[in-house]
Amino acid sequence: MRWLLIVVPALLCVTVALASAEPTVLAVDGEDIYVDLGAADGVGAGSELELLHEVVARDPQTGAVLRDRFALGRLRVVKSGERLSVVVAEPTLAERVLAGDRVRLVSPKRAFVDPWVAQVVASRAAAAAPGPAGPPGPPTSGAGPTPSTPRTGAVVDHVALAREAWLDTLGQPPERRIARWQALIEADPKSPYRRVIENEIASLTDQIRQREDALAKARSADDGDRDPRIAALVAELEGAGALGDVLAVAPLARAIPNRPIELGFLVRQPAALHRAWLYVRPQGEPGYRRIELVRDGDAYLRGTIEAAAVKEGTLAWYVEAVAAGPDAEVAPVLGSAADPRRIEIDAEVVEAPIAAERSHVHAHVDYVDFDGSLATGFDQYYQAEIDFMYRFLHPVYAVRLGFGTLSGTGGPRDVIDEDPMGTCFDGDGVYRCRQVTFSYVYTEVELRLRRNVALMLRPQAGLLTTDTSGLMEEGRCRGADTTDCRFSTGVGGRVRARFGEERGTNLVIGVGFTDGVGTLLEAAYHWLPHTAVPVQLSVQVTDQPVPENFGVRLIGDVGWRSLSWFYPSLRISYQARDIDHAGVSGGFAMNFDW
Amino acid sequence: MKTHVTALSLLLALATSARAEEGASPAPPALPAPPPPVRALVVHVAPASAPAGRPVELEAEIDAPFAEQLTVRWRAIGDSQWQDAAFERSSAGGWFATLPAARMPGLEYYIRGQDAAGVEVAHFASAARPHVVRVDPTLIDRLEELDRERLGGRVNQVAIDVIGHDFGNRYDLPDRFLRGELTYTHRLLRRIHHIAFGFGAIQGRTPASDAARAPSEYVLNGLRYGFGELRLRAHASVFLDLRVALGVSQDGFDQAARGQVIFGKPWRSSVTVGGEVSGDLGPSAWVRLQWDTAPPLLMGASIVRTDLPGAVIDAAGLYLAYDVSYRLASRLTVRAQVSYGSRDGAAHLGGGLGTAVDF
Repeated sequence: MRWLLIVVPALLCVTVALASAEPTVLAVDGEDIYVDLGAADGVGAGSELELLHEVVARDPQTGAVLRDRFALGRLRVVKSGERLSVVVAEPTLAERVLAGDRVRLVSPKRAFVDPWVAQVVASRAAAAAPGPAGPPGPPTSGAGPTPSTPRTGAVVDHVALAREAWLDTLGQPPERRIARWQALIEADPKSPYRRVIENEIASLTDQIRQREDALAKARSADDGDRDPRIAALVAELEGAGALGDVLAVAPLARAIPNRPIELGFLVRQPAALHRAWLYVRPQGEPGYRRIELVRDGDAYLRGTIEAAAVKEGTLAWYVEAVAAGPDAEVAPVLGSAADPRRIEIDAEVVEAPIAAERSHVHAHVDYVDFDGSLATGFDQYYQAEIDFMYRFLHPVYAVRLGFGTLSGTGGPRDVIDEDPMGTCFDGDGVYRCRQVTFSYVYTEVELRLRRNVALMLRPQAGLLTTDTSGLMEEGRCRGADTTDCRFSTGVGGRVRARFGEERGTNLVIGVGFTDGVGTLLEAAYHWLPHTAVPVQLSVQVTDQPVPENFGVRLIGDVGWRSLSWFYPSLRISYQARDIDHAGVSGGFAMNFDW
Repeated sequence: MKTHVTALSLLLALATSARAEEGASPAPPALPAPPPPVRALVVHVAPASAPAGRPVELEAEIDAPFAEQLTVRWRAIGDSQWQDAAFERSSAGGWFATLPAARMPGLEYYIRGQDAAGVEVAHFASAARPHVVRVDPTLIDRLEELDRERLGGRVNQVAIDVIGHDFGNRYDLPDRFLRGELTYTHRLLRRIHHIAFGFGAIQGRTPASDAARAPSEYVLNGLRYGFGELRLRAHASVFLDLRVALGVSQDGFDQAARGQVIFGKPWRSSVTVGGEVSGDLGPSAWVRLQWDTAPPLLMGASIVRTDLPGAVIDAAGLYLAYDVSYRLASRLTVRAQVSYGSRDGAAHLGGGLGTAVDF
């Protein structure tokens, strides 16, 4: 813009300087190209000019300066003044236009009429035959009606009077403009512009009337006047998005829990509504809560959904209203009970307090004697296990991690029982028993299928050492003496199902298998005859510690809970592979509950 | 205005008094009542919520806007001072006012006008009961807030941990490792929950050959490394740790990578499943169960299967570790671990100690 302030005067100077020269590009301002051709030259909007580029070269032989012009393309006039025009060119050509380039008119010359002169002529004609005319414009001196001489003999310059009056009206309110034009008519009743001026006065009078009507409505506090205004405004606002027939409210798709939700409803016709209610139903509640909406401002109803109703899940809501009038009935106006609007409420994000009794640590040692010979026999083992459990409840009920060792000797029942020397040699003099040590780890996942049905899955793996030497020496296969020792990885698993309450009365049925160690089938019944006395009775069918003959174990385990977080228990068991191959043994366990 | 009314009342009173004195004198012509003031009307759909960090645009249609100086008075929730935003003409028609970028928990506003006489007109809501535009935090925002509260603003931690385990074996050759790490952790508490950098060293002895060849000698293995770690919060209660380590081992340049998934929160009860592999020291894998039910102790049990320190005697190095951490002070935590497990032969013990300072 500042640039234009410099360019335009410069253009005027150049225009004067080049008044008699060939048409030239005076300046280039962005897309606008200024040329010194105007209406006086027969150039106007739509005219076409040709851009000429002058090439100057010197003849190398004669030394003469040679000039020639080449047409580079066409320019189109977009607007013209008396002497200047603004032209535009195609983008590729526009880049090549330079100030000083010549131009020439290639479209036919056109004749332009001064609009003010034309209006005056029209006014004269209208004086003879009345008819409508446009608003007055600035009278141009030197063109138009000649001054007349009234009876007083003074010469009246109609143009000058009209111009003076027109200038006075600029920027004035309609009342003053009317007064000024009336003053002109009084002062110059024979003005050739009278018809135009009278039309202008009529137009201004109409504008004042419209304004007063609008102001009267704007002053009115009457609902009948305000409602149409509001409805019209809301209709215009509709361009921004779909609004309801009666109410409009901004969408709210989600919100966080425990924070009140404020809703502001825009009402199309506030006077038409008598009362309105917002109904909300948090997830899980059987019915809707009702909140009366309060009128507010120009055209609004407002209501707040209290924090207690903003709970995790889906919040359903709708609005009902009753129109003004004795027979009006309550009706849904935004959503409905059957088809409510919904706001998704986020889940609670809190650091939950530490839950008690979620973890359990269980350690037990169990000595199992199948042949009644205790340490000197060939069918007994001990098993120690430590188990860490945490109840997550969801989505996995509990996870257990554990470490265990099973170590003992086993072999064919018949061989053990029939060897009179008690050395586990068969009739062929072959030692048939094996000593195994299985150190294993496991992870168990407990899934709660039903309230009283749980499924526990446990994969386990460990190091299995098998000694087949029959030397029965302590420490064999643990040190350098590894003759007849086999080392392998024992992989297995266990599946259990529990029916009943985990910490109450329940029945557990399970099956487990470990490669090289054996199979275990079990059923355990746990109950609390007294809160301080947990009891578990079990029956197991197993061929452990080596996969030979199955036997049955009957186990009773009784605890004593004197502390809330700890109880020990003792177990006694009877096991037999047949009625002559049986023994009694026991063990103990420690349980920690945190 | 009030002055005008008072003056007018006085004039009327004087006129009435004069008429009473004059008795039958005719009543003066009644003064025309001033016309009620022109009132603007403002309609807009009040936004109920706005995204954090974006300006709140109010689009409105206004009738008789010339009648009043219309403004939107707004303030961030919690602020005491109201600020004004003017309505501007929209090139698309209508009017608009722009309130600055909203931050949690939101802002409140009302629309008022003031006529030429200075009378304030309420068009929507009021200073006493403004309309609230909520800026609801995202899940990550809320989790971050919770974490910051839990940490008391201490988002940095320096930790030293040393663990070791003696596996032993039936050949009475040493098979053990010791591992130490110094870790600096910076908690971002967003999707990237923390970043960490540290240095570590592993030193160990292990039989030189596998059990099939009855090893008779052992080797010294080790790794000196630096590492970078990212913890990503994939879900409110699922975290993913990724670590890359570069260093040198007994054989030269070595690299290692580690990853673990934590189901639950690492500072609460959780289950972790992870693995690590080093080019020269072999792979490790673990499952860890942690429980927080015995405050102030945080306990954990892990099953670890590892080849550390680059063992070849057997691939079944397994131990169970039980660890306890205890917060001695608000900034200081100590940890201890005991482990029991074997690789070849009878099980042996191991253990560890560690401490962490938060700031």
